[in-house]
Amino acid sequence: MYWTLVKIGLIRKRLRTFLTIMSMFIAFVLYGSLNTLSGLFTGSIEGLSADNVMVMPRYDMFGKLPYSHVNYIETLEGVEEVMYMDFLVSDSIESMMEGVAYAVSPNFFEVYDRFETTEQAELALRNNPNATIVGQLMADQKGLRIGDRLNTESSSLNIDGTNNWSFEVVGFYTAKQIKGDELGAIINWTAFDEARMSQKGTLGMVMVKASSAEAGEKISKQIDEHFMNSSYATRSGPESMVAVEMAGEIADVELIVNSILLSVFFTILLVSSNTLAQSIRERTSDIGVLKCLGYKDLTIFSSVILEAITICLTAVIAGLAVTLSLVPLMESMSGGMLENTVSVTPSIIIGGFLIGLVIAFISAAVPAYQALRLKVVDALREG
Amino acid sequence: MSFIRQVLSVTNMNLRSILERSGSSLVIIIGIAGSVAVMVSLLAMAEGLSSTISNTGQDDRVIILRDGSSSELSSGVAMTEVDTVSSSSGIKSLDGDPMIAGELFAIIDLTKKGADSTSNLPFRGVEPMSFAIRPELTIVEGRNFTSGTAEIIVGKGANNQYQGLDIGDQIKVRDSFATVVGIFTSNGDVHESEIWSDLSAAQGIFRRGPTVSSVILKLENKESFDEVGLYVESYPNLELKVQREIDFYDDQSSGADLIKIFGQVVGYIMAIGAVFAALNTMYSAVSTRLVEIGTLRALGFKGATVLAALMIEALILAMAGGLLGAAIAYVLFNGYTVSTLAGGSFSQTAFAFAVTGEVVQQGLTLALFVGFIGGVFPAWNAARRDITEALRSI
Repeated sequence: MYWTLVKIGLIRKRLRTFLTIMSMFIAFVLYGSLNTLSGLFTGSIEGLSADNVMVMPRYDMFGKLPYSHVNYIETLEGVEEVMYMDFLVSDSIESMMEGVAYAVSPNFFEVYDRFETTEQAELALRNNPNATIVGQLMADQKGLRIGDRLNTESSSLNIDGTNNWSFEVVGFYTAKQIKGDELGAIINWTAFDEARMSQKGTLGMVMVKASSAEAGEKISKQIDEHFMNSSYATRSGPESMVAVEMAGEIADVELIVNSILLSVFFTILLVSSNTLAQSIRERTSDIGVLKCLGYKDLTIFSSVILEAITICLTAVIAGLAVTLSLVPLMESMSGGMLENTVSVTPSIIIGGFLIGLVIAFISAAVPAYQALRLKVVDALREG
Repeated sequence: MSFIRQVLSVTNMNLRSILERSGSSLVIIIGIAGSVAVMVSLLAMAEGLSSTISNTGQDDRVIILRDGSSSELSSGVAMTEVDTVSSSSGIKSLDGDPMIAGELFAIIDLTKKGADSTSNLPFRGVEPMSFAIRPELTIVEGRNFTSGTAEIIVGKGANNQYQGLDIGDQIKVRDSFATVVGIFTSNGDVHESEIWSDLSAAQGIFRRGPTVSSVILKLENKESFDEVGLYVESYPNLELKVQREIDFYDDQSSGADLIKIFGQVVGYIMAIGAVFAALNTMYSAVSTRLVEIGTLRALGFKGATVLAALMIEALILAMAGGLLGAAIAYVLFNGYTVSTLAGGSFSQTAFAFAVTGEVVQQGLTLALFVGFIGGVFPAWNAARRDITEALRSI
C-alpha cells in the first residue's frame, strides 16, 4: 500500500523527480570524492609505524644531525636497532615530487620493514659504493633496469667539485601501503659520506626501532632532553606523529575540505528540500482526496516521507557508486602514486546514507505534516 | 524594435510574478550562489597565495644561490664570494657602493596564535644595503634594529600569526634571545612572514661563520642582467647560480596553481548540480504559467518573444545568485589571512584571500552559464508549445 502511494508520488512529475535526484547526486559525488581525497592525508599516515621513533633536527626539518648522535642513541635502554639516513636532494618541494635519493645505513630494510627488496640487491648495496636500489614506481616511471645509471643532483658537492651524482641500479624496492614512497632511490650512506666534499659525517634523520611503543616514548624524551642545549637539538617522536605535524604545516586540508562540504550540503539541502516541499504542497488536494477515501494520517505521512527517502537514497547510491569508479581514475592520474592509499572507507559510505536520510526527513516532514493538519474540506478547496 | 518591446513587456510580467513564486526562484538563486561562493573562495585563496609570492620578485633585482640549490635554505655562499660578485659590472650603485647584500636565511620555530605545537617561520639576517635594495619595506611600528645587537624586526604577517612577536617581546632563537623592536610591511609579499635581524647577529645566533645563504643585488637596469650572469659564470671557481628575482619567486608559486585547479573543478561540479536545480525551477516556472504563455501566444506574441523573455528571467535569477555568492565569499573571506607551507622555503608564508575582480568575473561567468543551460530547455519547450494545448491546461 505504501509502495503504490510512493510510486505515484515519484512518477507524478517524472522530470522533476529526475532533476531533483540529479542535483543531489552531484552533491554526493562531491561528498564522496572530497572525503576520499582528504583521506589521502590521514590515510597515508595510518601506514606509518608508531613503534619507530623518528629523530629529526629540531629547528629545521631539512637540517643536519652529526653522526655522533647515533652513538649516544645506541646506548639507551629499549633501543633495538638504530637506522640513519641523509637525503641527497633536500631542497625544494618540487624536486621531492620527482623522487628523493636516500643515503642509508646497512640496516635500513631491517628497521623499515614496510620497505622490501631482494637479498641480492641488499648485498650489492653494501659492497658496491656506487650502487642504488630504486623504488619500483620510480623505476617504472623512468624505465630503469638493472645495470642502468641513475643521475641526480644534490646540494652536497661531489668529490669532483660538481653537484652531479651518478649511481648504478642494482635492484628495486617496494613499499607496503604507501605507493608514493616508491618514488625514491636508496644508496649507501658510508660510500656517499666518503665521496662528498661538504657536510661530512652528517645525517638528515635517525630512526630508532624501540622494543615497544612505551619504550619508544621514553626514548624520544631522553634523546630530546639530552641534546636540548647542544647546537644540534633534536625533535623526536613516533614516525606517525611527525608526519601529522608535517601535513598540518602544508595546509589545514581537512578544514578546507570540510568547509567546502558544508557549503555544498547547505546549498543542496536548501535546494532539494525546497523542491521536495513544493512537490508535496502541490499535492495538498490529493492528500485531501486520500483522507476522504479513508487513508490513515500515518499512512499518508509515511508514504510522503518514504518518497523523499527514495529520492535521496537513489542520489546517495548513485553518487557513491560514481565515487567508487572515480578512485581508479584518481590513482592512474597520480601516476600510481596514490595506489592503495585512497579508498572509499565504510565510514564515508555510512555517513553518506545518514546525510541522505536526514535531508529526506527534514525536507519532507514539515510540508507533509502541514498537509495532514488541514481539514479535508480546506485541502480539497486548495485544488 | 517591436520585438524588443514585446520581449521587455513579457519579461516585466514574468519578473513581477517572481515574487509570487519566491520559493522556487530562491532555488535557482541559492543553488547558484552556493556554487559561486565555493569557487570564488577557493580562487581567492589561490589568487592571494600566488600574488603574495610573485609580488616579491622584481625584474631589476637578482638573487644568487649556490649552484644546485633551488631554495635559499639549502644554499650557502661565502662572504668572500659576495665580495667577488660585487665587483661585477651592471650592478646599480648607491653613493659609490654597489647595491648588493649577502643574506642569511634560516628557519626557527614559534607557536602560532591559538596553536599548541610550533610552526616554522623564516629568519633573515640582512645587511644595511638590503633595505636600500628593497624600498618597499617600511617600518610601520617601532624602529629598525641596531647593527650588531640581538634586535629583530618582524613582518606584519608573522606578527599577526604568531604568539609573542609584539614590540618589546623577547624570543628564544637557538641558544640566544632576541628582542622585537619593530614591525614592518613589505607590500604584502613573502617577507612580511619573516623575521629580520642584522646579518652578523644572525651569523652568531645560527653559528654560520662568514657565510650567507643568498646574495641579492639591484641591477643598473633590466638589461644588465646578462652582464652579471656572464661575470659570475666566467669567474674561475665560482659555483653560483644567477637568477632574476621575479623568476625565482614565480617558480615557487606552483602550490597556488593546484589550489586554483581544485577550486575550478569543485566549482564546476557544483555548478552541474546547480544546473539541475535551475532546470527544475524553470520547468515549474513554465508549467505554472502555461495558461499565461498560451494567452500571450493567442494575442499574437511570437514564440521567440516568449523564449527570449524566459531566458532573460533565468539569466537575471542566475546573475542575482552569482552576485549573492560572490558577496558571501567577499564578506567571509576577503582579506582573511591564513598561512601555508609555501614552495621552496619549508616555512610558513602568510597570505590573505584576495577576492579580485577577475575572480568575481569567473564566478559570474559560471552563474550565467548555469542560468543559460537551466533556462534554455524549459524556455524552448514553452515557446514551441501548441497554443490550444497550452490554453487547455486551465
